[in-house]
Amino acid sequence: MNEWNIGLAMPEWILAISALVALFLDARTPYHRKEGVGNAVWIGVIVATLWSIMQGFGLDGKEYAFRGRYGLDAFSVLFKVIFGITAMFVMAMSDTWLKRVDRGHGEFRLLTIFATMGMFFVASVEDFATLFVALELITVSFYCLTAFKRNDVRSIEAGIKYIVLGALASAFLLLGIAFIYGATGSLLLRDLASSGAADQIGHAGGALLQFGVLLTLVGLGFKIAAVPFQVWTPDVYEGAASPVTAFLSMGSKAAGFVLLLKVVRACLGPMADSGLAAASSWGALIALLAGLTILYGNLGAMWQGNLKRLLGYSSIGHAGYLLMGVMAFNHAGFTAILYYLMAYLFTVLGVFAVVVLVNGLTKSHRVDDYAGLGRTNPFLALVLTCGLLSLAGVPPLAGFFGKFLIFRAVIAKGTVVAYSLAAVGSLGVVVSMYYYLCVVKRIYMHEAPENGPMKTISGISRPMMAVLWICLIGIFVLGFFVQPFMSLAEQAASALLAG
Amino acid sequence: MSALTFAIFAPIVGMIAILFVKKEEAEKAKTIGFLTSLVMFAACTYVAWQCFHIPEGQQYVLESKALWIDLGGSFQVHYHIGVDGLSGMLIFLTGLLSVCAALASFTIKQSVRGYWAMFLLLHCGVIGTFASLDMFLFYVFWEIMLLPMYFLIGVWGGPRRIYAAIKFFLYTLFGSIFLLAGILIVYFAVTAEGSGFTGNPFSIPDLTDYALAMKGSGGILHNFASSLSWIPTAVFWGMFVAFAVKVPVFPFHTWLPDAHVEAPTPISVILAGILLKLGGYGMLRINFPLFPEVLADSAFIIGTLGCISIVYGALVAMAQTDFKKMVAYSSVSHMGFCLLGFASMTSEGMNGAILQLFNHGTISGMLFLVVGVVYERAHHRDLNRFGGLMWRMPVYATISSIAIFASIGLPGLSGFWGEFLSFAGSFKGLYSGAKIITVIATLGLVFTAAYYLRAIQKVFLGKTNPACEQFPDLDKREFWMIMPLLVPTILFGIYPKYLIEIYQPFVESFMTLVAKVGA
Repeated sequence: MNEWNIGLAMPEWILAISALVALFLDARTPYHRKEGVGNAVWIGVIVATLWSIMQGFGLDGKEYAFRGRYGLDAFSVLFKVIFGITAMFVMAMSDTWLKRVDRGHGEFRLLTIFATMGMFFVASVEDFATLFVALELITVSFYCLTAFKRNDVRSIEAGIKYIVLGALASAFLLLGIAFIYGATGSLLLRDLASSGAADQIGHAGGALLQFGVLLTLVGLGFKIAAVPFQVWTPDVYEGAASPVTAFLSMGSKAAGFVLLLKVVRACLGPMADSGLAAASSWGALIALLAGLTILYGNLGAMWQGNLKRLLGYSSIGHAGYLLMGVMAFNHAGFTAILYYLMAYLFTVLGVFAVVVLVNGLTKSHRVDDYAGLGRTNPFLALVLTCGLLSLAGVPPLAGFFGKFLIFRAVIAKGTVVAYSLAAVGSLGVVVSMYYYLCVVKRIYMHEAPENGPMKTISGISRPMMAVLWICLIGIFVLGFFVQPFMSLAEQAASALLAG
Repeated sequence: MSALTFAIFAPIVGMIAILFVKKEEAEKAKTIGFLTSLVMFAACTYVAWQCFHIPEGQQYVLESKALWIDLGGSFQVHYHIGVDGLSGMLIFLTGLLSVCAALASFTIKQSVRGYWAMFLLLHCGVIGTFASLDMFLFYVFWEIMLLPMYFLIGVWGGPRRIYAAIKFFLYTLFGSIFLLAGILIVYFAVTAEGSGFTGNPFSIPDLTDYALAMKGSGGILHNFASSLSWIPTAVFWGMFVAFAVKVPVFPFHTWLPDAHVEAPTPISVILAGILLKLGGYGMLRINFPLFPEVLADSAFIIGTLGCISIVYGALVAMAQTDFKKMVAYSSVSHMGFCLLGFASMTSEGMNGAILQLFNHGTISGMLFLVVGVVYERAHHRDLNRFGGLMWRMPVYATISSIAIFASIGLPGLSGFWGEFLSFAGSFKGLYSGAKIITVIATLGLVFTAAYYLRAIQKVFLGKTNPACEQFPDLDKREFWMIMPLLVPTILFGIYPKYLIEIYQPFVESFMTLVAKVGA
């Protein structure tokens, strides 16, 4: 445990080296010839992901590196693979999107790989210092990515909103970490989980610890866009370039949940284990936030005419469902969250892939401008429809099983709070069905206006085509063949709970 | 592969074949779709035929079971299908109506491939729902049905199709979420410590047996009895809402007129003929057998809802000038008889209600086809703008009149038996107030006769409206699309024994379930 064991972090090393290579190449090539940068980034992400998969096969229990500040178990491997796939999908989208932008290709790819590196680290954090650094690596990369369209007022606005609120959230997080350190004298998550932090609840340090956890949750709540820290989401989603939005909605959100799960497990786990009354009030607090998040996201999405804003609100709603799993606070709940995120990966990235392609043609994100997509681009329409229906949770698509597992975990609690939360969640499902169907109806039931921009999209790049197909197949496979993915999620959840 | 599995997935094979049809040859999709519906009909008939020979001591035939999802512990979802007389009869109805609806779909000219693909997917969902013996599988098929219906109404429907499609979808989804929650709560209750349940927590037969064993000692959710005693009632009503939306029962019926009026003719036929039956079927298969005690306590409310549906549906139908809307509201009214029969918990009532399920399927299917025929000629459905069609379209007028009289419940036609037995059963219903409710409900019969006779008078009798002078009589296709429904209407009107025979084992076992509770 006290070894450096730096070889364990090989995926991160690979990412770091390829990022450095890309930096070097970027500095030496003129702005219109950045293929080298792109290749370096692609190779880095692919090799790092494959390496993580290999590590997953050879994994035996939990291994540590950097003197116990970096850990590798089934949970972190699963998330590294998820982040790797997300990064690849996003890079395929950005290759398509960057063709419409005249400069900055190098920086865009560099920022993408930096964010990816941060996510890989996040999956392995074992103490609060690493946690903060890894999270900031992601967040700072996203500040730049969000504001990347430098001639676009909305993009700049999104960047500024994100940076101001993000900095505030980081401050809360840091303060929370300070309180936790003050209360327990350790930054290591496993110390918190094992040293019987619960014993201290009764003492003066207990209040300090709980206050610290509260502030930490505020900081993480911003990352996952949970009420009441969700205000930035629609604006940032709308203003950022579509590949960035896709990256935010999957990568950044999943990273936030990784940390949330780790922190909740470490800080609240002992309380729940020893059956303290405080644990149930934390559960009620999370349930309240989950319910409000679901309602806010889904009710807000109903009135959106812009597809990216709509997806922004719906992403708030999905954060609420994931929080429901956190509230369940047991193996079933954590498994459900992991499965939900796996399903969400294919679903939301498939949707955004279509958004990127359609936006290239119509230069619009208005839902109304998707009219006629079903006739002009049947395949894109199919992917988008399946994606939206999976987001809504129509069986037997992937999203249904994610939601189903969450509801199962919550109802299993059998308390009145759990039942009410499940009822609110059901209401959210019905509402979400309405606005997703409003998009579907545009696609299939409205004709494209004469002389409108909607035409058949040709020249979809191979990686993009691969993304579309993989997402479509993933949406069905995760809905029909639950077993293998379920056992992955279960292993990861067990690893997380084992600490 | 059993014949049942074949019947469920034959439409999917047809659908995949259609996806490979090229755009220029879209007409081929029509051929594939029609042939698939014929194959489906053959398979469904075979399935129904098997239900006449259910061996002693066995409840279901053509059963097959395979593990689908295993989430560890007792959470095992099976692909578990099988039919008894009730589901076999309704599967036969599905096959029959699918052929008629396929014939009626030949007039669809827009996005032909998409239409037939959705048409077939819908049938996969319907037959799968009827055949499921696993609650989770039931739910999945139940939901699979929704999407094709949404598209069929929303893309190929009338002027307000999009509104109607979304309304249909949201209403049904709203209900089915209660169903899913109910399934989960039942699962947790029966797998909890001390429930004494040993079967599969999703298996409908296992749960029904368990409900029978638990009669008088708290029912299948007796685990909740102490702390949360309202849970069984809540689960019962939650599931009831899920199915009542489909039936549709007042006050969940408002999606129906919209959906029917906007849907293209063949889809109206399927909607009225099959989808509404799924609501009644769900009650009989899941809702009532699992909670016989709550059913006994709630009989008065269910009977009242049935009575309101009958009278209210008939009154609203009387006020319509749109032919199709009138038929749509008559569906609300006629499906009310099923509830009246269920609530009575008598053998006659159950018989009547189940007969009504089948007969309303054929009769309302015919009525919607009849409306579709005249709509194609006149391009409107305003009852006041027809007249004297009897003299121009004698064959059509004859068939239509038979359908209408069957719907009114004229003895000798099949509609009579369902209504008669429902009333007979309801009158000696086991709950207090049964007699009054039945008497009020009979008013519905008078109103029904009134609006139907008025419709006959306005459309077929009188002087021929000049606008209708040139209407040709039924052509061959139209004749043959109505005929398969007309034959059972007359046949089962004169001799309903075959129909009663096929589902009788179900009624008997249902009555034991209910009777033991009452005693």
